[in-house]
Amino acid sequence: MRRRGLRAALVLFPAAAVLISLFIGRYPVGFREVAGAFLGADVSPTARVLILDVRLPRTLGAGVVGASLALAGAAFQGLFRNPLVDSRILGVSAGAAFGAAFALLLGVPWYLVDGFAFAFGLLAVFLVVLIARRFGGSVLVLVISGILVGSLFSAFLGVIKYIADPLDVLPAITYWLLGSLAGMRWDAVGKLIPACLIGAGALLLLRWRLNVLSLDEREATALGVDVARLRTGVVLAGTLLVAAAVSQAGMIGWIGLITPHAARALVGPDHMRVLPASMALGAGFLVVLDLLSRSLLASEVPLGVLTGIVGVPAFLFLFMRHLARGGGWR
Amino acid sequence: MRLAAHGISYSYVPGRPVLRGVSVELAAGEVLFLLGPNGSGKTTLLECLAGLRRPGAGRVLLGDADLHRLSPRDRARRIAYVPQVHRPVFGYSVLEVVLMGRAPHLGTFAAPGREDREVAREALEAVGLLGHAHRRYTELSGGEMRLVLIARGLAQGATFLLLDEPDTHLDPRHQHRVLTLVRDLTARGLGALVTSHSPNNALHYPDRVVLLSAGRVCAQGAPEEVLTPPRLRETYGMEFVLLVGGNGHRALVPAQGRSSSSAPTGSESGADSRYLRERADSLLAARKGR
Repeated sequence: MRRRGLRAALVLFPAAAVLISLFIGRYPVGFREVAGAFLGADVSPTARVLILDVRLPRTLGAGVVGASLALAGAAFQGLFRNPLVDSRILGVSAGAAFGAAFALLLGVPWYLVDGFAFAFGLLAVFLVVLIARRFGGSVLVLVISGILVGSLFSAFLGVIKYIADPLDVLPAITYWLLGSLAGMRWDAVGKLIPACLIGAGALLLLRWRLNVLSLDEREATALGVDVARLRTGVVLAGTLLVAAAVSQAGMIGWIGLITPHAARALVGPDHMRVLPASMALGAGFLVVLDLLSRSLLASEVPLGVLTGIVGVPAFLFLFMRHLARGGGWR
Repeated sequence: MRLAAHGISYSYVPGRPVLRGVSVELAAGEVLFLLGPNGSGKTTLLECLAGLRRPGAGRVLLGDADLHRLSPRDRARRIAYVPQVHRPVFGYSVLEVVLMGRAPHLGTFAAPGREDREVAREALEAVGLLGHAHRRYTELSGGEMRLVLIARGLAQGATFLLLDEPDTHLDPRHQHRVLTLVRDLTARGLGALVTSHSPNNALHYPDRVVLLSAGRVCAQGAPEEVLTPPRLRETYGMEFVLLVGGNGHRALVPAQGRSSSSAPTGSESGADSRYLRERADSLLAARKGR
C-alpha cells in the first residue's frame, strides 16, 4: 500500500512540476489562459505562443534532460559499483561537450552535432575505463582517471573557444557550456526524444541485470552473466543519453550524481526500482530548477550554477546517509 | 554427475605456474575439502573448476562436456561459486541477493517473477534464514552472509557448490553451522568443494580431502589417511600431533607447546614475547614520565 502511494507520488512529481511551470514566469498567465491555449479557446496570441511554444517545450525538454541525466547516472553508479560517479565524473559530459563544440566549430548539420557528442563521450569513458584498469580499477582510481580525462577534454574545449569566431560561434559555445534550457524549443525537443527513447529503453530493459553487474566481476561471471558485453551495452546506452542531453542543453552537473541517491533513499537499492524512480525524480528536479533559474532573478541564473548550489549540500546529505546505511564505496 | 580437472596448469605470470598438472574429481553427493598452505593454488584451482579461469593446459570436464565450451548461462545452472565474504556497495535485501542466483535462468532483458521469488524463498528456507529475507544483506553477521551466498547458489539450481574458505573469520558455532549445512546439502545430491585452512575442519566434515602443495596434489583420499602428522609436516613445514578422543574424535594440534622450553622453536618464541613485553613496559614507562 505504501509502495503504491510512493509510485503514484513519483509519477505525479514531474507532472505537477511541468504543470506549475506553465503558469510561472515574467509574463503572468492564469488558469483561463493555460486551459484556453490547450483547448484552442479564445486567448491572446501572445499567451498562446508563450504557453504552447515557449514554456511547454522548455519544461518538457527540462524533464527529458533531467530524466536522461539521472537515469544515466543511476546506471553508471550500478555498473561501476560506485556511488560517487556520474556522467560528469566519468568524463562523458566533457567528452560530449568537446565533441559538440568541435562540431559547431566545423559547422556540420545538427544530427552530426549529436553524433560528435556521442562519439567523443564514448571516447572519454573508454579512456577513463582503460586508465582505471591499468591502475587496478578501484573506485578511487576510476574517479581520479575520470577527473583527468574530463580535464583533458575541457582543455581541448578551451582550444576550440580560443580559435572560434568571437562574433558568431564563440557566444553559442560559451552560452551553451554553462548549461541552459533557454534555447529549448520544439525542434530541440524533437532532436532529444529519439536518442533518449533508445538509451532509456535499453537501460530499463537491462535494469535487473544491473543488480548482478553491481556485484564483483567474478561473481557476476559465475552467475552466468556475460559481463563484458552487458557492460558495453550499458555504457553505450548511458553515453547516448548523456550526449543527447549535453548537445541540447549543455553541461548540467549534479543531477546525475544526486538523483540516484535520492531514489535509493526512497525505493531501496534494487535497480528494478532505482532506475524508473531516478528518471521521475530527475525530470521533476530539473523542471523545478529550470523554473527557479528563469524566475528567481530578473535575468536568467545559469542552470549549471543552480544545480551546483542545490546539488552539493544535497549530495553530502545523501552520501552520508548511504554510508550510515551500511553502503560501501571502496 | 562429476566435475573434474584433468592435468590442469595455470600461471598468472608466464613461466611461474601456480598449478602444475592438477587432477581433481568432485562427485555429486560428496564433500571434498581442498587444503594447502597460502599460495599453494587452492583458490586458483577453485576458480578453474568454476569456469572463471581457463587453465593453460589440461581440461575441466562437467560430466562429458568441456566446461569452457559451455555457455556462461549453462555453466551457472550447474556450478555455483560461493565467494569469500564481501561487502557489496549497495545495501540489497537478503532476498534480492538470493534472487540474483536466478540470473542464469532469466533472459538478458527479463526480471525475476513470482516463481523465481518462490525458488529464492525455498533456498533461504533451506539455509534457515527465511525469517531474514527482508533484512539488509550488509547488516548481517559474517556467518549469515555466507549462508545467504550458499542460498544464492541453491537458487541457481546448481549441482556443484564451490566454496572459497567458508570457514574463515567465523566463530566455531558459525563454522559448524555453515559446514554442517554443506554436509546436509550433499546428502540431498549436491557436490561441494570447500577450500579451507583448518585441518580440524578437514578431519571432521568432508568425505575426501585433497592436499595441495606448490601447485601439485600431494595427497588425496579419506581425511584420516591424508591428514597425518608426517604429511602435514611436509606440506606446512611444522609439527602436528594427532589426538584421538575416546569417542573416536580426532584433532590435530601444533606439536610445540605454547612457550615450553622443551621444544626448540618454543623457547625462541618465548624469548620473542619476553622481549616484546619488556619493550612495551619501557614504552609505557616513557609515556608516563612525560
